[in-house]
Amino acid sequence: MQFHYQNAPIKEALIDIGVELPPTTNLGHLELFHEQLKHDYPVKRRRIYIEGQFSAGPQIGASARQTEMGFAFESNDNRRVFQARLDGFSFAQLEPYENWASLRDEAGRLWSKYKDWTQPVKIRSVAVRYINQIDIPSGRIDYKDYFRTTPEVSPDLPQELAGFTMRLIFPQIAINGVLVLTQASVSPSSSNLASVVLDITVSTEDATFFSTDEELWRLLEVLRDKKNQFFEGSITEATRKLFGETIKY
Amino acid sequence: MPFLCTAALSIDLSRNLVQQKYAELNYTAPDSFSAALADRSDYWTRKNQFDAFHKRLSDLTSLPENWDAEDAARPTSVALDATRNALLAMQELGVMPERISPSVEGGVAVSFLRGRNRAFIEFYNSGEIVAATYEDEGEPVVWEVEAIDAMNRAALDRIHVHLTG
Repeated sequence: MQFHYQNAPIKEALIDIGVELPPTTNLGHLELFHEQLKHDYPVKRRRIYIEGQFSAGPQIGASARQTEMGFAFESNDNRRVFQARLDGFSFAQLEPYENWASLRDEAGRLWSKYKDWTQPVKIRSVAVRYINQIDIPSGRIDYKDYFRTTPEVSPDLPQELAGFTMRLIFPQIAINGVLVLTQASVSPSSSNLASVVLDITVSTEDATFFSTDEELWRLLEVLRDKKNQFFEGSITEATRKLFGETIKY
Repeated sequence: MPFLCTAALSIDLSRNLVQQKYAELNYTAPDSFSAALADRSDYWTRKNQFDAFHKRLSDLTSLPENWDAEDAARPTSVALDATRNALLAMQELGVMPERISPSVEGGVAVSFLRGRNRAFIEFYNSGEIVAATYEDEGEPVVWEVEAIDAMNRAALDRIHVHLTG
């Protein structure tokens, strides 16, 4: 069974395709690509990865390295973001989320342009990611009333939590991939709310599932269905009530 | 630095567990890819930026009087609360400030920048709020604002239009 919510808690929905580009491709080439998209995505930002390194042993320390990987092109209203990177492509719809079809179709249009411009040597990975922020109208809640997977604290310890982050990685054998479910408390937008993020990413790096464009877009449907299954399996009826009118189909 | 040591160990342990699970299933865990995805979300990026602005605002409460050595008053709770409410509205609208700083007039100044287009809002200790839009060159357009919060977003809409225009 699938659900459609009047006030879906989706803050960001994202399709990501990792690629290997020809070795001659550089940031300048990606920047020129913006010319084709300026009308719909006029805002250009540099995309930088910050990579932290922890080390243990005789010398314990941490360091961070910044690598410029490409560009994020944003729509004027900041609600749609298209990333053209040296390691891949992604398209994100931030709230308000419309529906899967509009996300998929726009991602498809942009992917086609990105592919023509960069001529990837190969596709490395495909992922669908949905980030939901669930705002619960109470400063003090029992997580078990709203979520079906919760951190369990030893009965010998205080049961009150000021915050938590839980990251679960589920193997997805049918697609030789993984589903990463991150559930975390975040700062709420109002003092009388408790906010929890449910961040679900489904991905695979197995090229047998995306050897053609047709297969790739079929795979995305499978990833999205898997994401829906985990979202619905993670929440309770009390949570669904927060999303307004629900249509089951 | 025991904290870093613990963090490194817990990361390695969790990866080992995943690798082990995949070894049983005869798969290779694509953990590097999943980790990289954490960087690709605009939701998390923006949330972190706004959290940093709220932290910056909290830090301003400990600013001493005469912080600029030229008799500037430190921001009071009136200015800080008004800025906090405005930040929440900015987050809802997706209007990202460039900087938050104490105002030499007594209060808090929030500035915005996109290309050549700039704007600022000053939340004074008196409760007054003033907004302005301008470009690199040219005179600013300045106006008074009654309030900026979840219910009063007209000034932010105007700034947004200016920045993206």
